[in-house]
Amino acid sequence: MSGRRLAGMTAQGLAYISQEVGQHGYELIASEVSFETQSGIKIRIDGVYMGPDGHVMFGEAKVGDYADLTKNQKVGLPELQLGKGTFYGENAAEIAKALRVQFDANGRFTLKAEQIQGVYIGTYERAKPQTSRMQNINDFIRARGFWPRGGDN
Amino acid sequence: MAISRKQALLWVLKELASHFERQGWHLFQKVTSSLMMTQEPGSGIQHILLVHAPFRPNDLPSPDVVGLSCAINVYFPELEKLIDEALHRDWSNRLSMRLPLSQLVPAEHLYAGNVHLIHVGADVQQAVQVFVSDFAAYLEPERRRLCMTSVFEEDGYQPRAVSPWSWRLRRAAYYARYMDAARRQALFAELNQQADAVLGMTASNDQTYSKIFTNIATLQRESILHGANELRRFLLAVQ
Repeated sequence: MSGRRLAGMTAQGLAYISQEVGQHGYELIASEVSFETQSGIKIRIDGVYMGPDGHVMFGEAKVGDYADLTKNQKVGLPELQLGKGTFYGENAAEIAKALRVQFDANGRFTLKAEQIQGVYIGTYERAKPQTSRMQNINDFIRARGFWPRGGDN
Repeated sequence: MAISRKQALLWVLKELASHFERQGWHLFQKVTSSLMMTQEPGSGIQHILLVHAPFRPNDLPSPDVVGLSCAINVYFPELEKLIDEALHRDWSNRLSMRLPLSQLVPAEHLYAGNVHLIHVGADVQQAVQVFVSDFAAYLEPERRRLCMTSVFEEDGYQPRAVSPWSWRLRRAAYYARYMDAARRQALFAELNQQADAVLGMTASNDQTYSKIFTNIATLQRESILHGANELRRFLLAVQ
């Protein structure tokens, strides 16, 4: 896939997921955010959102027939939701300001697990949001034990 | 000569800084890629105004726009200190509640449910007109209600865009700190009942849930459970 098409789908995905979660009270704080987990995995996630209860939610949009979580995301997202991630990069300081958490001179900061609501994976196809692929992706990831079986369905 | 998006954002934020300074806000730091201003509307209350551009320029629908997001962080230090202690936190929460403009304005005013699109290249005052009037019409009235802690005594009031559980927790902290025993106990009984109703309703279902979600309903259920549980823990600690 060409870089331009990929960029277009990323933008589309971010718009879809922001629109979807925005209807339920979640506000986009920053997009294309980088973090490094305690085990040294570097990941980029589409959006960081704040919910109406003041907790942080990470959003990852997947657009297209073959879109899937990256290898690093499959391993790193479960770590991130437990507060085991350090945010860095140009957007990190903006997030820290919005959440009123301390950040270092390079803009790096961490969140407590208690401040994190979780990770939301939105799956969309072509021009309109759909939910048909959600279960498949979820089952695929759970089958490999990346995160626990539980209430999500 | 055409200006870059970065210059355009700075241009818009500086205009907004001037506007909000006239409204009583104080610049917190130099305007760069975001605007941060403060007000202390009452003793021990802090309001922080944040305006920034959360979408990357290439993620916006046109090269001639900047996408602005705006929110007010409200902080009641005494209440948060009490909550931190009661919940045995090893960190300090410095944010009591957040009022995002995007959650208050009609959806058709926004792009992707989140940002106001400001058309650059036009007259700057005209460019920010919708944003500024939306702020005055939708966000400012909510903020004004939160200029005094006595707002927590108002039965039936809850700020739009703030979760009911988050509000109940702060209200409980206010009553624990300032109200007499009779009024405190009356509110605590009511809040306990509300928390028990939610937690009891889910007791028969599975209570182990992951924090990875692929549907909004589950995400919201988790939020409600977390809020009710946190409130009950707080009430147990202060009763």
